[in-house]
Order: sequence, then C-alpha cells, then structure tokens
Amino acid sequence: MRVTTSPDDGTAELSVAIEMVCRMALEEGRQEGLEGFAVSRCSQQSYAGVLFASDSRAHQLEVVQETIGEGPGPTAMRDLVPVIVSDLSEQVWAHSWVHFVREAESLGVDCVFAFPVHVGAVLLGLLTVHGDEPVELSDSKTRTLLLLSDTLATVMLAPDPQSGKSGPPWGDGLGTGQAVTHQAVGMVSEQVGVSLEDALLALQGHAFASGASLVEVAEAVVDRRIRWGDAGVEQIPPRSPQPRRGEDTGNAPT
Amino acid sequence: MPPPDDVHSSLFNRLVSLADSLVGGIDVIDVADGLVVSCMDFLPVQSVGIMLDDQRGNLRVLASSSEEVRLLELFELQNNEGPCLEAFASGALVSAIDLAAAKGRWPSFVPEAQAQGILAAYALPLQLNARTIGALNLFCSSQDAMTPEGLRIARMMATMATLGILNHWTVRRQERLAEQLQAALNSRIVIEQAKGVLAERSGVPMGVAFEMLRAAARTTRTQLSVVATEVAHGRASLDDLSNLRDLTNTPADDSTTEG
Repeated sequence: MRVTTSPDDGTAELSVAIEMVCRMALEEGRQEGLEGFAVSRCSQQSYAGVLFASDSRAHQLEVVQETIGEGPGPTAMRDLVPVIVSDLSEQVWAHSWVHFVREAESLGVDCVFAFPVHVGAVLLGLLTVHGDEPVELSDSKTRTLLLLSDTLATVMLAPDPQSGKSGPPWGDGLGTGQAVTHQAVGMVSEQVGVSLEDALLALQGHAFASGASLVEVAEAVVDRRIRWGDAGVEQIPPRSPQPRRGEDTGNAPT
Repeated sequence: MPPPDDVHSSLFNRLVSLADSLVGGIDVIDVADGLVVSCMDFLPVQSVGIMLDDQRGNLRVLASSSEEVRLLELFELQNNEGPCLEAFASGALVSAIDLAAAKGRWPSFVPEAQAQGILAAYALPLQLNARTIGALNLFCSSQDAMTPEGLRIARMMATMATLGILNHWTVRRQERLAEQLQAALNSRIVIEQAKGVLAERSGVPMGVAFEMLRAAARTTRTQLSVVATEVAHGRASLDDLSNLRDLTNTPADDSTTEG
C-alpha cells in the first residue's frame, strides 16, 4: 500500500500498523504506571486525526488538546521536543496550561508524556502517553518512548505492515540518528527543487519501492551513486574506469 | 613561540567571549562550534569533537573541528569502544597518553585513530548535577603535547559546553533534560541538511560544505545555525555560495565524494 498524504486513504492500515508497534510498549508501560497511549497524525504542525488510542481516556486527551490548543501535545508539536509532565498537579503546569490541566484532571490524568514523531523539522505525528498517578520517567522509559517515536515515524512514512521490512520494532527504524539521512534530504531537496519534507518523502518512497532501507538510499545519494533528475531517480556511472573500493555498482538501489 | 603572557591574555579574552555567548541568546550549535574552535586554537590538539547522549543509547556528534568523513566516523565508532564512550560511561576523565598502548582496550578504535595520525586521545565528560550527558574528545598528533594546564583548560571548555547545551536552572528537573538534549540534537540535524544542500549545489564534499557554512557565519557575523537554516531551506542565494567557496579556497570538483 503506497503512502499518500490524504488522511482518508490508508488510515485503517496505518492504524493497524501503529497498534502493532505500540502494543509491546503498552504492556511494558502499564507495569510502570503508564496507563494509556495515543498516536495522532500531524499536518502543518497541528492535529490531523487520532490514528490509535489504547482506551477512551487516551482518545479524549487528544481531543481535548486539539480543541483547546494547549497542553503537552501542542507544545511538543511546536517545539519538536519531548514534553514530560511527571506530575500534573504541580503549580508550573497550571500556570502554563490553565484549561488543559483542568480538563486533564477531570479525566483523572495525573501525568502526561508527549513525544513528537518527526524526522528533523518534518513533523509527522505525535505520541502521547498518560497515567493516572504521577510517574517519574526513568532513563530507560525515556529511551523506550524515543525509540517508539522513531519507529512510528518509519511506520507513518510507509504504513504497509506487509512492506517486507521485518525486524524488531525497536530497530533503527528511519535511521533518524544518522547524519547521512539528513545530508541526503538536503541533497535531494536541491536536486529536485522541493522542500526538505518532500525530499524526505521522495527518499522514503524510493526506499520502499526498491526494497532498500532509507539509510541505504541515503548513502547512495551522498556517495553520488544515484541522484534525482527530471525523469526521477538516475544511476550515476562511476567516474573512474573501475568501481571504487566498496562501491559495486550492482549494489546501488534503483 | 609567542611569550606566555600573550597566549594567556588571548585565551582569557576568548573565555570571556565564550562566557558571554552563554548568557546571550544561547544557540547550542554556535556555542558548541565556538568551543571546538577554541580548543583547536588554544590546545595542542589535531582534532576535537563534542558528542551528546541521544537518550536512545547512542552518542551523536554535536560539533567537530572538521567534518571530514573519516574524522566523524572515528567519533561515531566510539559508540562501541573508545575514550569517549568510557568517559561518558564512567563520568571521569579518560587519558590515553600513548594510544598504541591502548590497543588491547580499544582494538577497533586505536588502529583507525592511528591511521589518521592520532597518537594520544583524551575524553572529558560533560556533566551537570552528577549526570553525564556527553563527552568532549581531544585527539593529539603527538604523545607529549598535552599538559596538566591544557587539561584544565579543556575541563573549562567541557563545563561551558554543558552550560551551553543545558539550561542548568531548569534541568534540575529531570523532565527538562530530555527536552533540551533532543533540542540540541534537532539543531544538529539542520546542519546536516544544510551540508547536503551545499554539497549538491556547489559540487563539494561534505567537509568542505561545512567549512563554507562556518565561513559564511563568520563573515556575515550570524549564528551558524541561522546560516544553516537559511541554506537548508533554500533561502541562501547562489552568489553567496560562490563567495563562500572562494573564502575556503576550494575548487569545485564534481567527482569528489569523499568528505
């Protein structure tokens, strides 16, 4: 199933994929006071539909924040950093989010953790986890949720669960930590003359279509084995008579 | 060799301006790059890098004295072994005064470092409130170059790096730590995107593209991350870039991909 940008297309499949990805984190999380998970799609730095909610309270929390426009979620989307609220009853939160705190407390929510699902400045969605008691987010739980948000980014760019890219759900996912991915995004945006976001989508689309990982495609771009031209992706013949060490042209994804 | 007084006063002036940069509108990339450049200017080192905990179990390069691919890969290699990883894990200074002697300790890192002319390596933890968030790496091309005073200066640089990355008033709350570390890493991503745009547009290797960004920041007196943002989003004009290439004295060469 090809990824599209229309929210009406492929949403059901995307939701299934997201639920699969969240399920394990959910089970572990419940043991540590993390009661509910929700994943929303984002578009233009704002909510564009709840793709998954583990229960009705998690769903309500998304709806509330979208409606009133304040809270950990909106802040996380705007700043593209995790917003961690260990204890909602603390004064500092009531100061920042008068309405949100009231609404959340009436739902019985006592802690909220909002993680943007993004690749650099490209915001794809939002992961929000909540509990009904205050929870100190440990380093290990922070790590799990960051890895989960990375994985969700992969899923949201290529939603087909049967895409053939198997592996543990906590894998490197998009390789979002790799410099080469972002360098390739810059190169392709220049090659095609499009935004960084569209360049990322082009790279991921090509990876998906050719059965390569995003990092493999990025490396091919940065090594100048492939480029985006007027007719789409082109192989670049090597300059020297023989392939350079480590560059077998047969390996270049097309 | 300049008389010690000149060096000290010039170091002092640099420290004052670095401290100033920490109270102005703090730009993490600018602060980190400024510190790396200052280490290169005042310490007997071949290369310098600042690595940051990405909270997912990896150390990522936040700033580097040069962005030649081989050097960056040497930093990244330390996710598996090396002085940086040890300093990060232990929260203590790691000194490998004779890198060759550390081959048993770091069997992959040492040969690769030696291949780049590095004979000694030091790593200082970046710490705040007893929490280590990363490390400052110093690589030397000779074994006897680093002195105790040099290490004291390095420790001051490491402290400033930490203060530049984290707002220490708010990060007493564990909650703010994730926010600030991820924000620093986000800033780094824009640098990488800008490198890609420039490398493509000017036909230069990534290392040269980074020097062009630095040169542009210097000559226009703007923050490195501001220049990078403009370039990444395609808002810096071609004329600027031609001038930048002149500044770095690098001929355009389409066939080069190393770097």
